[in-house]
Amino acid sequence: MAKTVTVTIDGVKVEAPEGELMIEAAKRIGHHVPNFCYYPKLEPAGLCRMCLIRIEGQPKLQLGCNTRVTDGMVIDTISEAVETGRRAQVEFLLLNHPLDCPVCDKGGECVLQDYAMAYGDVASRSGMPKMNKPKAVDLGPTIVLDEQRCVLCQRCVRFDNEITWERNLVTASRGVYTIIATEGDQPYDSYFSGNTTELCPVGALTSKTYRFKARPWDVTPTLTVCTQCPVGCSTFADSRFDVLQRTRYDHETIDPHGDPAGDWICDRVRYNISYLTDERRLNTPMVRSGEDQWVDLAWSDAIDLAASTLKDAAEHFGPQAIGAIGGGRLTNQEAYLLQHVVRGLGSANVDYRLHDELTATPGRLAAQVHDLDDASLIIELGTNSVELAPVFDLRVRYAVERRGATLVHLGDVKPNWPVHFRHFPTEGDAASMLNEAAENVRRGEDLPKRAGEPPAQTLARLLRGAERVVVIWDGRGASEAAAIERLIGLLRDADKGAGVIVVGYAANARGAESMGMHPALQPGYRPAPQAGLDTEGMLRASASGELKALLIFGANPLLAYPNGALVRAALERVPFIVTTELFMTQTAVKSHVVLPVKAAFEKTGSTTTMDGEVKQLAISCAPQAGEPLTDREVLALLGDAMGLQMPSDSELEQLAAAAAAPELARAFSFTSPVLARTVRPAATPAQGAFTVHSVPRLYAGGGTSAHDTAFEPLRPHPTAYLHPGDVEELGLEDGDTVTVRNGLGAVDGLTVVTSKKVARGSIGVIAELPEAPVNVLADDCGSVHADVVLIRKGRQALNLAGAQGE
Amino acid sequence: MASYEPVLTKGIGEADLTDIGVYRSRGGYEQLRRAVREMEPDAIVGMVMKSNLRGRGGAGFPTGRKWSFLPKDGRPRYLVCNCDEAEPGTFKDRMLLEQTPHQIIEGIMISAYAIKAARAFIYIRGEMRQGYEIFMRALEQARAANLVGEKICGSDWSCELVAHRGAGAYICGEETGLLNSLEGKRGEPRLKPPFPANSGLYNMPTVVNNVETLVCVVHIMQRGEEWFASIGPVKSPGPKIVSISGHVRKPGNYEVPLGTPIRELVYELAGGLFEGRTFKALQPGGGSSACLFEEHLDLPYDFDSIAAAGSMLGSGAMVVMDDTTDMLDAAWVLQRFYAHESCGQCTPCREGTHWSEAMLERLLHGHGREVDVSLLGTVGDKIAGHSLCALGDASVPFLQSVVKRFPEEFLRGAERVAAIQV
Ligand SMILES: Cc1cc2nc3c(=O)[nH]c(=O)nc-3n(C[C@H](O)[C@H](O)[C@H](O)COP(=O)(O)O)c2cc1C
Ligand code: SF4
Ligand code: SF4
Ligand code: SF4
Ligand code: FES
Repeated sequence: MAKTVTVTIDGVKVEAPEGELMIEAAKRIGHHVPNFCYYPKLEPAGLCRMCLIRIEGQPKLQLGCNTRVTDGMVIDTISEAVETGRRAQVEFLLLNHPLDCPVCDKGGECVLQDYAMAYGDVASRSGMPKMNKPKAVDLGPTIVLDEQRCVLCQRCVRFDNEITWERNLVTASRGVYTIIATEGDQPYDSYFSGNTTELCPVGALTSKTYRFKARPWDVTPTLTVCTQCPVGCSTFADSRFDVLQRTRYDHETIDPHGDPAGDWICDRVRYNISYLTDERRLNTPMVRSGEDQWVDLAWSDAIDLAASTLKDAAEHFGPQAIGAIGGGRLTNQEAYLLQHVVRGLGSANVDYRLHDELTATPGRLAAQVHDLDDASLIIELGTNSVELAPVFDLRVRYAVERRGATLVHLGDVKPNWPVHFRHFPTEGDAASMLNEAAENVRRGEDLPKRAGEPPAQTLARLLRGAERVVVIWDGRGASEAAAIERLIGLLRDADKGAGVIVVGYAANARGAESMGMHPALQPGYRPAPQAGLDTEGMLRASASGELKALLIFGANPLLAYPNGALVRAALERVPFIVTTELFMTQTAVKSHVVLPVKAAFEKTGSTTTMDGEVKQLAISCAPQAGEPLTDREVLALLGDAMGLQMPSDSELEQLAAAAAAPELARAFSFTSPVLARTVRPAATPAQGAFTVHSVPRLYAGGGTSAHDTAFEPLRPHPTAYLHPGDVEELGLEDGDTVTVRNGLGAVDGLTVVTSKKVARGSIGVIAELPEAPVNVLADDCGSVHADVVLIRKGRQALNLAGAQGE
Repeated sequence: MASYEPVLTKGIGEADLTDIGVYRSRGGYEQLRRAVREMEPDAIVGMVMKSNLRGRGGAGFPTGRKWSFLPKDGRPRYLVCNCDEAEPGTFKDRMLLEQTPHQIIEGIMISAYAIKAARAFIYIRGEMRQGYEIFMRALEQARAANLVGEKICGSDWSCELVAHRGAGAYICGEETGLLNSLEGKRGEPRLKPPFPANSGLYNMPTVVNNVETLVCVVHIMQRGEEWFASIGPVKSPGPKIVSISGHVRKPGNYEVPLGTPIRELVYELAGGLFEGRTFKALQPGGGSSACLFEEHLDLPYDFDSIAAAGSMLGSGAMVVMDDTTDMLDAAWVLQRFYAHESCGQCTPCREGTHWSEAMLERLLHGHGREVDVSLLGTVGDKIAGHSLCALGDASVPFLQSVVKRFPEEFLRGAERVAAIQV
């Protein structure tokens, strides 16, 4: 904690931490120091010279954004000299500024407008024509730049350099000809690009989806939470006439302290919002009447049909014939109700785990996200936070670049990190490598460093040298779980900081787990008296005909579950499937009753972030057609119709809050024997020359991203990443179209991208793309082999968003 | 004056000092040898401090003080020799580079030893191709003679010297612009604080010194700090190479003791004006300095006297203008230079230099407005003291000084528009 000093600002004595920037200290007495380039989350840059202030005893005006307070300082932020200095900057900036405010998207929330009113003159003194710089420059898939409006504060460039470390944006040319450009004139392609439109103090950067759509005074802002990934970023949703227009992070409100490594949002939630009003949205309950034939139903009829069928199934075949699979779209309250309904019917077949995970809750072994801020070694295995938890990944990058933490990825596809990291290929067995390294650490032998040593040995050396270790894991694999438990135990015994953060695949997985959407756990992680079937168990029971009715709430197992053969067989065989959905997804098509539901922006409830924080959703817009209900309403209706004892609204809130209590999560152990899972019989994997890795991509998925015309250009193109050596050996070239196939199925229409991120003999295929589902190649959740077959030579139009090769 | 015997430029024109043998035969590298074998680094810093040497790169900052700012925290330190010399009118470093490169190497290595640098660099202006090649040959010779590199002169001290060529931007002479460029980044100045002494090259403590400054160090070593301090004014002592150009008969580099009267420099050393011309003005310290006039000719040429007269000694480049000079034209040429060289980072310099240039251009073509002439002064006030680096400030003094002194030459450019308006 910094020492507190007393300074006098504009005649008022203020206490401030020593070394605080003057511009921040002035806020303490409510004085705003005008600025363009200063931004609390970025390093001071001193470019715009707008924040001039006077310090007693100093002849020259100083910068509020780069002068730190010391005891006894006397500062003027309001005085004749200061105002003269600021007026000079405004006059300079307006010399070549187009002042096309009436057609500028920033109009109404533009600081240049504000300062021009406060410090500008009515007429220009220059008498010169304004410079012509390019307008509407297409910077990449998401952003348009107006060079004329740009005040060259470089907030965008600095964000891209010191927050994402991607270094796409640069300044080009010099003097008055200086412009913002992209490195090597490549498209500005980043998961975080939208943040620059918010950082931009003027209307120079606009997003393709929001350009010319609304005025700031026309929209109603609502603070809610993004539910697209486990990070759960706080997000402002701005709506007009109940239609969502844009999302923003708005640091003034969400993050007043200016945490540089967090509280941004990524482009998934910024640009994937038009699905809300997509015409493909389901707006009325439907029942299947034969192959591909659907009949609309009234809600009451649909609920009656579902309720009576479920009850019949439970009565005729026993409660074990009923199961439920739920996804990350559910709020905590909804997850609670779903397991409540299933358990109310006497079944314990309920699970949220769609990706063969073991857990979403790190429990006793947890590290908190903020532990990355002093971690010296970060080991990621199984997952890839670049794609699965983007805003969280900014903190990883920060740890590496700003603090010099060592970052290691154990896995078979090299991640797209823009920061330095070490990659140790594991051939599918990260657990052995961790175990070996842990064993090495335990024995305490410090072998000399030598070239070509096994990775486990290098890892052991890194572990020995590290004071604080954070493991990032996707929650998959029993042997990985055991290895992590062992390693963390060992490190903690040696008085080192150590913990694991789970970065999984579904947004509210952690909430669902705590709400008892789990065959072996009741709400609050209480072990269930009798464990039910997990996802794999339910799918097997479905395929064998034992499971008669399946509830699928907010999930698309057909696309997501790694064992594609099993899930297909299961959904073919179950006689009655009720699905709640926004769209006719792959899974919905296979169901018998499909119920239209509201999206996250359209409902309330709570959600639990990967870090265990419970956040509240708020209603920011409304469905524009039909009569979708929330999953919560659907479950309440279903429960009532089946005569189950259902909690009242207030009871539900209390139950959900109690189950989400942090101390319950902290006591949880993911290696506890009560969590035993369905045993998978050893399958004989299909043959093939290549090992197939499914590669996660932030913009993939069969739901919101596949049903959003505005987002369509950003969706990844189905891609086969191949090592250059294999590309050559197969006689292929970048841009060729191939099929990847084995005895179980084929993924068609993949474009070849040469990439050193995959090893020889491996192929990376983007996961969860409805047009090219990679799980058709698998009949278990283990490794997959297949052959590559050339279909067509020649380059197709490539969508760059997903196809970053190397 | 007649009694002054040059030291920095000694031997130039007489012997081939680019050859290490010749340089050594005249006592060269003896001081480096003595420094690393017989002296403590701090003792050398102390000598430089007492010599009152002030930087020859432009700002005239006391060199010993600059060296003493380096934090003693164990981080590696760097010494960077600034040979970017792009200040309009300045050509002294180029002469030293081409004529006596070993003297520069010796100065760099002694200074690097004094500040305990882990590595030394020299940043050579891109256009000085020939000088660069001469320097590189000299560096090879010095390395082969164990004067640069491992265990220098048989001592335990090792230090590499790395030469880097610039690519032709004036702003890369500004010390932090130089450091960025040296790191391979865009050549634009850094925000200060932090200052290079704390966070310079690769964020390590760094000293940046001008070529001539470091060459002076060799002679402080050789003749002693008292000798140096005794030359010229107490607070601004030592020998100085003055680049004299413009309307004089014998333009060139002249080494003089600081404090020599300006009149002597112009009329004796540089041979005075051409037949039939009269003196109009001169810039005493490069393109960035305000003009001095007739009444200043008897001022002693040293840092403080020139500053007291409202200008600056700067890099020691004197540009003499006689009565044939059109000040509007001259102002436009210089302003165009600053607008062109502005890196564009900060608002006042980026916009202000361009605005002034545009007004001057308009006046030059007779399309100016009367108000432009007064605006020229106002715009300068808006830039000065507000820019991120000294380039913005440097674009102001000359223009303001000549607009003030010769307003009629500028107003002429507005006559046509004034006539139309009537
Ligand atoms: C625009 C600009 C250009 C400069 N160019 C040079 C240069 O070419 N050579 C130089 O030695 N100093 C130059 N300087 C001064 C340097 O920033 C720095 O003060 C100097 O190298 C320090 O050396 P000294 O202490 O030995 O004088 C320049 C400064 C500015 C603002
Ligand atoms: S585009 Fe916007 S954020 Fe970027 S430099 Fe220009 S004004 Fe600043
Ligand atoms: S990081 Fe995740 S939670 Fe945050 S905005 Fe992106 S998708 Fe949403
Ligand atoms: S004063 Fe000029 S050269 Fe210096 S940083 Fe500002 S724009 Fe660049
Ligand atoms: S806010 Fe301080 S210079 Fe821009």
